[in-house]
Amino acid sequence: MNLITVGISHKTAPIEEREALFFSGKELPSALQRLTEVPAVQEGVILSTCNRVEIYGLISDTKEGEEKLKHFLCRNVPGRVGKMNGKLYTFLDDESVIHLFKVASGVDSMVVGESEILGQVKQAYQEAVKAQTTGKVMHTLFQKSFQTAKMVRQQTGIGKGFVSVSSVAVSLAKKILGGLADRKVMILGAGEMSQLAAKTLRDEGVSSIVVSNRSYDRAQELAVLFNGKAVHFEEYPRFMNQVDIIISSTAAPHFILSKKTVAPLMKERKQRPLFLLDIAVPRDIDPAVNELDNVYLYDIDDLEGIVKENVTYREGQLVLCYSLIEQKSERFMSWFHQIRSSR
Amino acid sequence: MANIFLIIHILLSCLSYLGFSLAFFSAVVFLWMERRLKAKHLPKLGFLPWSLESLDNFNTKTLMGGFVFFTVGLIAGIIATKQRFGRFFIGDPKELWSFASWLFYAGIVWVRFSYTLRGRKVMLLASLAFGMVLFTFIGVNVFFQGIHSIR
Repeated sequence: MNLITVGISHKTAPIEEREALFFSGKELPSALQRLTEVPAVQEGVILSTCNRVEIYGLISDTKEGEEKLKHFLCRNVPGRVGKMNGKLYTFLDDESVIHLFKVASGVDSMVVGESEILGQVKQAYQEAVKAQTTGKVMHTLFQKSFQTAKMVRQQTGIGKGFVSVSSVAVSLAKKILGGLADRKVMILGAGEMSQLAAKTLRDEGVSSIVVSNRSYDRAQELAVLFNGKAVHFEEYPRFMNQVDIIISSTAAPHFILSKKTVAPLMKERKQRPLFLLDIAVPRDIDPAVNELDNVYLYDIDDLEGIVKENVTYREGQLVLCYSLIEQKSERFMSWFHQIRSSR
Repeated sequence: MANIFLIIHILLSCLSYLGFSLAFFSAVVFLWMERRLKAKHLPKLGFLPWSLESLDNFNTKTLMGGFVFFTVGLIAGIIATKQRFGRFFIGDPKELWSFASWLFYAGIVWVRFSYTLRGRKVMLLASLAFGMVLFTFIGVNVFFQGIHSIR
């Protein structure tokens, strides 16, 4: 009786190959049913996300179990297991436990320390419980993985700091302006980046969005999309004293905002804080604008720099995470050995 | 019987010190956060739970509260002086420092509400003013002799 993990992940294969093995939510119940019909498999859980497809199981024969599970994962398509060679991995017993604990804690994720995966592991477990493919061992193993994930997140900095450009931008806006609910945003330039930024901020609940673009039609399109207001490009300076956040991503070859234009604006705004995001390359806003009181200017490099710092910090926490995970897995394994010898 | 104005004077002065202390505390946190946000060098473990906006609000409220208590407390003090010494002002060093502090805080309230200044500069002024209040509260007793001295 052994524990086993067979799977494929973002670390071993690109998305084109992972998606061929992906189980959708609809497929999962029947797949779990088929899993129990595989000889040598006593208990099993299928974890299927966009970054990984893995089967966790309890098997009676290691060699046969591994083979059968690989074929199961490859949907028994002839020759596929051979093709996937080197991309499919297998972990046994303590390694399998350590792997699950790493996955649940977000340590093995593409974005190190992300927390979404824990919810996905929980759901995978619940699906298996519903399909009655879990027993005492899988039940205990998964409960321990949730506990370990919680402990790792609490006792290390693995989940600290924002690690995407948009989440960093939103967190900065909140740090400067407080809540974003009654804030007004101006978008200069109607490119893809602006659209993304507008969407993120709308999701955060900003009260209104003003869009200005060299081509007025394009500005209107974007304004309609976000329930905003389109403004002719020559007129946008008139609206600058009404907004709290300006996101600039025009194709202008030179600065469109300088210290000279923003300084009188701040007086007009009665020094209300202004958050400027310059995501254009080449830049739209003269960096000297940041020297003005109550103006906070960030360009794309600043945001990416913060992301990088946070990622480095999280990676620095990995050693601590591993040692916690190892401790927890040892404890689980001693329980597992007892169960095994009593059967 | 203790002079009622003297009691009001002491009570309100203490309350005003409390307000100014809270204003000072929020000013220091604001200045630290503002500096890091401007330098784009954010603390690794994240900021304290407040935003610049909320610190600014808190600072304004506590400073205003402190200023109102300070003003009324000062008037009560003047009346108490009149009752005890027959004059409104006796030139006590703490008296003089208090008037100077009051003028300083009045200046801050004015620039804040006329929107001449906001943010970092107001916080710097609030920190300086608190230094002056501290000196009025403690330093004057140490360096000068007067009716407020602890004998």
